[in-house]
Amino acid sequence: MKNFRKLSGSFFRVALRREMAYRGTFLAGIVGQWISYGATFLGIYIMVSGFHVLGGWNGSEMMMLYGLATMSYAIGASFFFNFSSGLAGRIRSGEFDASLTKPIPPFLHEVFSAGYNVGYVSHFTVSLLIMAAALCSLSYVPDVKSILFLILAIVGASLIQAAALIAASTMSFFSVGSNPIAEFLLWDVKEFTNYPVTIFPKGIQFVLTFILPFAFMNFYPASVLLGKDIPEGYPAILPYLSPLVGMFVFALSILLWNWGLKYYKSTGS
Amino acid sequence: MSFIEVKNLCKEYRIVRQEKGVAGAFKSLFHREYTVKEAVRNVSFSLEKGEVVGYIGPNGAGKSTTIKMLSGVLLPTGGVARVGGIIPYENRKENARRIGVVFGQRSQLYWDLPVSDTFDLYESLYSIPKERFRKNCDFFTELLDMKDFLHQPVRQLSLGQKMKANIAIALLHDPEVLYLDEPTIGLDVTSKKVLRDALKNINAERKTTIILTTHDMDDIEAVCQRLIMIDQGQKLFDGTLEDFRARYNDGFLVKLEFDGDIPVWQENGNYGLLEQDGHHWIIKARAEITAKEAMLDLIGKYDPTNLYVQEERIEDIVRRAYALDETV
Repeated sequence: MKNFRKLSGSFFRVALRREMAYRGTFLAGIVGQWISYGATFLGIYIMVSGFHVLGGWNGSEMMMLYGLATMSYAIGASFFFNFSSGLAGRIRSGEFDASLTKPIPPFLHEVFSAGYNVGYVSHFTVSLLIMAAALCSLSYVPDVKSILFLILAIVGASLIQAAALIAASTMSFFSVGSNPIAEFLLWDVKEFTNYPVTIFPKGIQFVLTFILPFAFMNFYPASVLLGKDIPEGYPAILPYLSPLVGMFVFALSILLWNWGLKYYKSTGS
Repeated sequence: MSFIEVKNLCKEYRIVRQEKGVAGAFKSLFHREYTVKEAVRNVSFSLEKGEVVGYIGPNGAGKSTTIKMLSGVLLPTGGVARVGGIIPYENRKENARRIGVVFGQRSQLYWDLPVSDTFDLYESLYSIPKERFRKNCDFFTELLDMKDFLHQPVRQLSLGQKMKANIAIALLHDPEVLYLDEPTIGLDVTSKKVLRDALKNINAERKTTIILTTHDMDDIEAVCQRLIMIDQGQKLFDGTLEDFRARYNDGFLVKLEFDGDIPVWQENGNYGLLEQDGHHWIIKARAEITAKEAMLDLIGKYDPTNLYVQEERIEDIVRRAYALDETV
């Protein structure tokens, strides 16, 4: 464990230095992300404020959903985005093989050497503002308990986001071409999470809760904070389980990744 | 038991046969035909600690695949490999501490950082003791002549400088074995020499076992005591360089250049005229005569302006060796 801390520290220093090597790109990246996320947010805001109420959620409450999703993505992606999107390229070029000749697990070496994406600082700040704005307009007064719950929920949500990125990259072991599974997992399914799960048909509620548990990323934690209904017949404990679900799918995604690696080692490329 | 034992090692790849055109691509979605490519077939050899072996063969012969199995990257489909008593692809982590690998032109350096940063990273990656790390840094910086570019961003470095840095990085943790996949490819003459001298030095001082693949016979001559040749996945030769020459070399090439008119070629059992044009000849001399004899003889007879003697390229020798072994 002490070794792990030292090692991740060393890699983190290298990652930061790499990010800072090009100051212009670094700053432009942050500003660019700000503009892009600001625009998305504005779009959603206009839409939900037009709707007023959707499945019992008003515009500000849905902003909370968007804020949670963005913040957890910012945290998960800052650690795993480079890793996930770069894997196919590294396999194609043969650089990936180097990770198999290092005395640490290949997964760890890939994550470390892919670097941290400091650009997600912008997502993080945008999402912080969104959530603050949402809670203000709801005149929500948080207490210590709810803040603690929120922090734990965000940790769980970030692990879910990370798991999606890891699972998506596993496809690269089988085919280094375009990755439709990644597209689906990372973008298409998540579209649903911009809205309260309760507005969807039962099948989709089930999938988002038990199969691809993206609802634990924002819907369930928000339903606790804002006192909203969960889908009918689901256990009342469910909304509190985000951290556990996060840890579970995160571990599962690493197992999946290592299974893909086994395939790669026996087939080569 | 020898330090490295390779027994009947095999590696098969399944390759999807792509049919032409969009229709073919569509068809292969539903029904795939595979062709099995045997990249490595029943290769066996054993190496003692401290040996330096050149692993040669034409492109696609199976050299890199063998190295990948020895370094734990790929699983063999048959046979077994042992390095220092452990099976690399089963004890990948343990093996990794004991080996250093440089895969050809694929750099392990960080493009936008100085080499020295990557050095520091490897200190914690391999938990190299501080004292030892400092000593090795100094040693390899000196040996590979890296002082001038140690603190420059990698993207500004030349091919040769990057190769030197990669080799240094592979050696920082004092591995017992060093695998080098085409370390001198694309380098200039001076860099090649520095590299070869460094490898000899490392082998002599640290008893590091080295396996290197190459297309350059001069690499072999400069650093290797032994040579293993494979083609189409099979081992064709294993022995010293002298044995290799004695067995396969059948002559050398002489190039004659003429300023004025080209003289008349006289048939002779010792030579064969391979190529000619307005001002030069390329002649193949048989192995029975020495280069000195041939030079004196040819200068006396034809009086060329320039004369060059060239060894056969490894590709040509290998190709002939393969044909030879097939007929046996």
